[in-house]
Formats: sequence, structure tokens, C-alpha cells
Amino acid sequence: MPGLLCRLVLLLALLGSHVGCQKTISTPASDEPEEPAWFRDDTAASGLDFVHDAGPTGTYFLPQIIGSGAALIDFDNDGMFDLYLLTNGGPRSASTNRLFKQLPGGRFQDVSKGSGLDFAGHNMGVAVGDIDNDGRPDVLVTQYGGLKLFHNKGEGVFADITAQAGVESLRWGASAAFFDYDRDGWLDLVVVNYLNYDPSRPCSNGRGERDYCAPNVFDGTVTKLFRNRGRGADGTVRFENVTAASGLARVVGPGLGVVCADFDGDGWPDILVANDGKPSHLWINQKNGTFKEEAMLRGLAFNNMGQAQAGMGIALGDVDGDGLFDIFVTHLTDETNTLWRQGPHGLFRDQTRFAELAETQTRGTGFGTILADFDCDGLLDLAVVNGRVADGSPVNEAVLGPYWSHFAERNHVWAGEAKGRFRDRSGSDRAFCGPGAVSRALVCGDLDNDGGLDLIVTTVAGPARLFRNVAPQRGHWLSVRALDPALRRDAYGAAVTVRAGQRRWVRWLNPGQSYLGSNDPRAHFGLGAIERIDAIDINWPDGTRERFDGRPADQAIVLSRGQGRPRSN
Amino acid sequence: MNESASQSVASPAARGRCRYLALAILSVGVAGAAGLGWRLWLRPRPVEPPGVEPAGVDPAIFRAVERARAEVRQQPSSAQSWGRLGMILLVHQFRDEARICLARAEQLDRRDVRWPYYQALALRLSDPDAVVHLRRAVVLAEEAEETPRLLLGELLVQCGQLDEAETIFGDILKRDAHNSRAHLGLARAAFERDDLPASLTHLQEAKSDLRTRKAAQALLAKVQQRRGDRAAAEEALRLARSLPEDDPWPDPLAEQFQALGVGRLMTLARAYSLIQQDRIPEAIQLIQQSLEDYPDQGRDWVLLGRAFLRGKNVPAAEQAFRTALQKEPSFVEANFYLGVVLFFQSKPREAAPYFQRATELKPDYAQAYYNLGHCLKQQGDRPGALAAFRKAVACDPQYANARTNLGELLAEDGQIDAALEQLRRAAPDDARAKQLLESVRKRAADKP
Repeated sequence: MPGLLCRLVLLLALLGSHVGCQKTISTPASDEPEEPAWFRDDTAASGLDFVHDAGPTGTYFLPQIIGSGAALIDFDNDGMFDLYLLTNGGPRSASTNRLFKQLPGGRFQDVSKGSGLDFAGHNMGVAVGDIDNDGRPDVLVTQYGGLKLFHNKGEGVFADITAQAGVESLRWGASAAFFDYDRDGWLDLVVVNYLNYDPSRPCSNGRGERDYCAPNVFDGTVTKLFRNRGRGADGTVRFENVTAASGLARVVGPGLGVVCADFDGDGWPDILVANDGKPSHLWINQKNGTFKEEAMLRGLAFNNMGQAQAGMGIALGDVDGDGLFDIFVTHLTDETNTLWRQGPHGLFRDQTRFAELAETQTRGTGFGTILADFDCDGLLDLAVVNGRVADGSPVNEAVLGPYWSHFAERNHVWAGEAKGRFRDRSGSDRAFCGPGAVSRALVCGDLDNDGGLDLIVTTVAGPARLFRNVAPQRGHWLSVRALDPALRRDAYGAAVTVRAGQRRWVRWLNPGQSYLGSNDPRAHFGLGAIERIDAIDINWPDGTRERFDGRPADQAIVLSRGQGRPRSN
Repeated sequence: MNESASQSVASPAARGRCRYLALAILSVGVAGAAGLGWRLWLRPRPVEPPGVEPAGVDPAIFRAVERARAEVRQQPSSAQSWGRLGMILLVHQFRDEARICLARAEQLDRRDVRWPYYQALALRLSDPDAVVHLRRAVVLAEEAEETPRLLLGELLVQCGQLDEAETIFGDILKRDAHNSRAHLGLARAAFERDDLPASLTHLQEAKSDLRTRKAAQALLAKVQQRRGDRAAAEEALRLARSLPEDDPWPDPLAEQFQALGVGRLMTLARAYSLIQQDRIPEAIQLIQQSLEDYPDQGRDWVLLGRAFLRGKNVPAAEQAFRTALQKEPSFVEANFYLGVVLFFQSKPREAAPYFQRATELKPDYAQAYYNLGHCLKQQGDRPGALAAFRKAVACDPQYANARTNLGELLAEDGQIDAALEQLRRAAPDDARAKQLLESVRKRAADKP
């Protein structure tokens, strides 16, 4: 009996202890980030004081939720990037676009007044390029219902030459980019247009609640192409609308994002348009003034489930170090952003899951996006800014208020790892990833020329923010400006390769990528532990190739066409 | 040992047994209390079923949700009640709330394939978490219920779990060797493995089914491009572009919750579908029913008018468009379609102001400018007509009909070069432009 009791008590004791142990002690999740942040919010310190005007709420006017862009532009050629920020209050609004000049020391001064760039409107995107090869970058602004082209006259003054230049449009313009599609030395212009929108048409979501219209309610529109015919007799640049002649008018789409690059490796720039909810369009340059649409052929139209997703922002970069650029396109919260890896040349495959970019916790409705080496370790990193387009649960309501908080989301940043994989480090970058906002444009550039790439983020009805790169223990770096002295401007469309031993890095130059914005036009390279590079190769836009001598890392250099040694391959 | 000592003080052994007994009693008591507490913890508590806020929500949807919630309160242990509430929330896109209810239904009845399947559908199909729910659904699904299996296979391809995906598709083909969606899934899996010949083989089956042919041709274009067969790739691409959207794959399980949709938008969606199928009287009836509940929706009056127009009842269409304008005077489509119906009745003078108004409300409305041009032309206002056609072309440079009419007017006005320019650009897309081009050229050549 005692033995039996013993066993019973033991059993009960064990049971008791098991019951007791079953209630595990939970430790609160650590509130401390695991790694040092890469970015610091320097908005206030920089003097950047800009709040986006989205117009009155409650009408669900669709252009309002699309947001507005930003541009890095060294308008006065003093070697420091200035900032141009757009607003969307409408033509009768008191708020205007604003131009900020960067001063020594990194502060920004509002120089909008008298610049000619301070105008109101439903301003969407901005493209920067020297259209008349006079050595000064010019500006194009897309609008809901228009385009505006400004010639940089110097001294901080821009003149509206839209009508004389022949780039008028009544369409809803989104992203735009300058590029030389016919390789004649004059920068041409591609403007992506969004929807054939009817502002009087109210929309509701599936619950019957009033909401912004989904893009599939309206037809898409054509992407427009304007060929730069150079300076006329009066000195003003003239553009010719070649949309129909080029073949771009053959298909319509709800275009939002654009990037121009050589997708098929023939040395001629092509055009990728991200369409919202429809397959992307990849316009392959036929080298005779026409283009053929080949997104489906080349694997960029659908993800690996055969679905077209919402396409907003586009980032371009070589994530796996094979010398071919890859493409990252942002989508809705309920979808995954897509990473298309190139290989073989000219063909793309959805590798989102392989790259570990499909995790549920990193979902958001992505807009602006950049592939860049933020910590200069030699591997491209990835940043995405997010913000909903349909009503959701409120986020950061105390700051954003009862309306916009329903569209707010947090941003994300990933660290690049070997073989094209990424690791989410959003938890470590609280400043950039933030408590939540309705973010739209993401513009990237080395504002202070310290080798660390900085970021500008625009938000709907909120402040534009400047995030200074403070990544600790940054690797070595090199910044290359590829200049064509004959054209007196940056060589848009050049490919720059840096070589060090067995390693190489390639960058493709065009500031027009991400979403609604224009970036630093230089090629930035993170080099890791490499202190000296062996050579720099440049494939110029006209097809010529040159090699430049090696040099120490950790500097910003300018390489001019004609000053290198010619290369045949 | 002193006997008196043994009687007054318990021996160590006895003390041990007492302690032993006390410990045993205590342990039993603790265990019993713990067990009772555990049972109480597990016992279902009265749960308030998820609901929706009424503000802004269609009243018909709110009522349907509330009725379903009442059922759950009355039968909190009923999987059917929880499931039905989940289905109603799901069809009206309250996804988070739907998932809670469907998960509860599954807890209460683990044998019903619908609950895990609907939980998967409540997540977006690109969500990898959907795989978890679909696996459970597939275990429960009957042989004939292929859709959960097909969907799971497709998600597994997306996740890169190709072996498992291929097994699933293979099992489906054992029962139905010509299941085109399974073939398409295997084609995608083979493509991901770079097994292009296998992908081609499966695509041959998939490309002839109306439910998969467009998707199959799109994938075929990619496969051929990778194989280096440019001509075959372009042919597949041409076919993919020319085909209409694939017919929907039947999903009887999803249809069960879709049938529970109520409210204005659901009704109008059904009406629109009926119009597409040319079932006009049914569509009209549905829209009119909806308008009884929601009489102030200008858009719905326009849909009614368009249905009448499709059914060639022009007076009724005109009345519907006029009502739409009364409700919403700035509604672009109401202005436009009233203009259309007046033009059809040979009343260009009455139609023109509505087209004009449509262009004021939507400055890039090429069709409205085009129609305005015709109205003004018929009224003899040639300059006005020219301006309107020019605007139509400016809004949409690909608008061949607008260029043709502009070219024709210019030619009649003697502006031959300008006319030829417009007709030349319209000719590739408009047979009438080609004819006009020839006649204008001939006229120009014959001119002394």
C-alpha cells in the first residue's frame, strides 16, 4: 500500500508539477534593436521644412492618394544636391512646390520664390535632365491633367517652356524619365500615364464603405514618348510626340513606375513600365525609333503564379553580383513585392521567395523603392516605403489624425546578403521604418558626399523627411560621375563597372527610378574591405567603351568621356 | 527502549509515515484543484462574435451580419453558425473578422472542408500562410473537390516547393487526365526547374481549355523565348494577347459563400454580369430593385439607362439618364450618355450641351469631344466641329475615327495638306480613312 500510494503521489506530484510547468513564464519581447541603425532622421536638423498638401479629405479624389514626388538636383552646379519637393493641393491651393538649396554644412534653404518652380497643382512626379546640353539640369513635372517642362536658366531661375517645347498633355502623368533612346545625344522623355479617370465617379469597397477607386474601375492610358529634336532656331529645345510612331500607343496600361535601361544587352535603352494591377510593359528598343512590347516574353509580366500584381515603384540593381541588373517592383499589402532576377541576359524570373522577400511581417503597399549599398559592404541592400491606398486599421493615429492614420504603414529595409538574398532589418532602423506614415516617393543620393547614401521620403499630407546615412563601420566606397563633356551633362544610360581583383560591381546610370522621383545620377559603389580598385570600365550611351585607371577607394570622382583608354569589350 | 517514551513521542518511522500521508493528501488536493482549474479554463466561455461597425457600411450588409451574429449567440457551439457568419463576413471583404469566425467553426467541426478552405481564401492567394490552411482543406476534401488541391499546388509552386506541388497535380491527373489547370500547374513547376520540354508537354494540354488557354499561351511565350525559339515565342505572345480573359474555374465551395452576398454593390455586379450576357430584362429588374433601396445613386441610374439602351428602349434610357443627372448634376457619365441617347434620337442641338459639359468635367474625355464634333457638324457649325475633333485627337492621338472626321472636314475646307496628315495617321486603323485618303490625294492631284 505505501508503495502504491507512493507511486500515486509521485504521479500526482508530477502531474502537479507538470501542470505548474505548463504555464510557461513568458518574457516580454525585447524592445531594443538588434543592430545599429543605418539611418537617422535629420529632417529638423537640416532645416527641411516641407509638408505635403493633399487637398481636402472626404471626397476620395483618386489623385490625392497617389502622392507626389521629389528630386535631387544640383541646380546651381555647386557640387551639392538640392531638393525639389512637389505638392498636390490643386491649382487653386495656396501651397506650391518648393525648391530647397543645400548650403555648406548640410542645411537646406528654401529658394522657391522667384525660381519659377513654385507653382500649385495636382503635382505628381518629377524628372531631371539637361535637355539642351547647356550644362544645367532641367526639370519636368507630371500632373493630374498635364505636364510642365522647365528650362534651367541659371541663377536659380527656371522658365516654363512646356508649350514651346511641345510636351503638352492632358493625361494623368505619373513617373517620368529622361533618356536618350535614339542615341543622338539629346535627352528624350518618357512619361508614364495612369488612368482615364472620371472624378465624378464615386467608389465603394466590398463592404459598401466609400473609398478610393481601385485602378481596375477605369481604363489605363498610353505611356507617352517625346523625342528631343534639339534646339530650334530660337534656341528653345523642341520635342516631338512620337508615341504613336514609336509603337508605344499600341497598348494602354495604368502606368505608375518607369525605369529606362538596356534590358536586352544590345546597347540601346529600353523602357520598363510598372502597371497597377496589370502586367508590366517592357518596351524593347528596335533601334529604328520604334519599340516592341516584350514583358511577357522576357518574364516580367507575371509573377510565378501567373498573376499580374499592382505595380508601383521600380528599383534596378545587380543583387546577385552576376553583372546583370535585376528588377524589384513594389505591390499592395495583400500581395508580395516581386524580385525579378535576370539570367540569362534579357530574361527574368520571379525569385522573390528565394531572396526571402515574401515574408508576411514585411508586407505593405510599397511605393518608392531603392536597391543601393547603404553600409558599403559590397552587397546591395533594399529599402521600400509603404502606405495604403485603401482604408485599413489606423496606425500612428496620434500623429496622423483620424483620416490619414487609416492609410499609414511602416517602411522596410533589408540588408543584402550573398547570392541575392536579403535579411529584414526593419526592426533596427526605427527612424526610417518609423511608426507609420502614408509614404510615397523614396529618393536616394549621397547628399553630403561622405560615401553614405542618404534618403528622402515624401508622404501624403505629411512632412517630407531626410534620413542621413549613419551606418557604423561602413565599408570602403567609390562614387563615380560619368560625364560627357561634349554634351556637358551626366551620361544617362552609361554602365559603370568597378573591378578589384576577381570582384566587380556594375551600376547603370539613370536617376529616373523608384517612384515619382529623381535620384542622384552618380554611380555609387560599396567596396567592403577593398581599399583600392584596379580599374573602372564605362560603356557610354553611344556604344563606345573606355577603361580608366585604378585608384584608391573612398572618394567621389568624375570620369569624362574621351579621357579613358578605349576598350573593345 | 523506554516504553513510556515510545508512547509519548512518535517514532521516526511513524513521523515519516504521517508526513508521507500529509504530503499525499496535499498532492491530491493540489492536483484536483489544478485539474478543475484546467477544465474550467478549457470550457468555452460565452464569446461575442466579431461584428462590423455600421457607419459607412451598406445597411443590407450590416443586417446580414447582425442576423448571423444573433445565430451564433443562440448557438455558440454550432460550427454551422460560426461558419455562416464567417462566410458572410468573407464575401463582404471583412477578412480579419471572417478568419476569426472560420477558425472557430473549424475548432468546432474539424471535418468540414469549407472552414480551412475559406480561411485560405480570406488570405490573399499570394500569402504563404494560405498554404497551411489549404493543406488541412485538402485532407478533408472529397475526391471531386479539386479546387483546394489545385490552389494548394499553385501556391506550393509559388513557394518553390515543387516536389509537393507536382505530387498534388499528379494525383489530380490520375483521376482526370485532362485537367488543364493541373497541367498548367505542372508546366509552371517544370519551368521553375528549367525543364522546358516537360513544360511544353503540359502546356499542350492547357492551351486548348477555355479556362486556361490565355495563361498557357503567356507561359508558352516565356518557355519558347527561353528555348531560343523567337518565332514560336512571338506567335504564342500574339495569341496570348488576342485571347479574352480565361473563363473562371468553377469553385462550388467558393460559390457557397459568394451566394450570400447582399447589398447594392453585389446587386449591381450581378446586374452588370447579366448585361454582359445580354440578359437585359433580368438586369433591368435587378437594378430597379436596387434603386428602390438606394434611389439617390446617380451611377446606378446610369447603369439602368445603359441597360435600357442595350435593350433598345431609348425613351426609358433617356429618362434614366435624366434622373441620374437630377441626382448628380456633375456626374460625367450621366451627361455623356444623355448626350448619346439624344443624338440617337436625331437631336444634336439638344445633345451638344451634355457632351460639352462632360468635357468640362473631364477635360481629357476624347469620346465626348468626338461626339460633340458630330453634333456641331450636323448643326452646320464647322469651326466648332473642327475644334472639337482637334481636341479629341489631342486627348487621344490614337483615336483613328476622330482623325478621320477631322481629316474629312479639313479636306472639305480646302486644307488639303492638313487633311492628308490626319488621314495618313488614321489610315492604318480606319478603313474609311484609307478611302478618304485616296480620294483626297486624287483630288489634290487633279487640281490644276
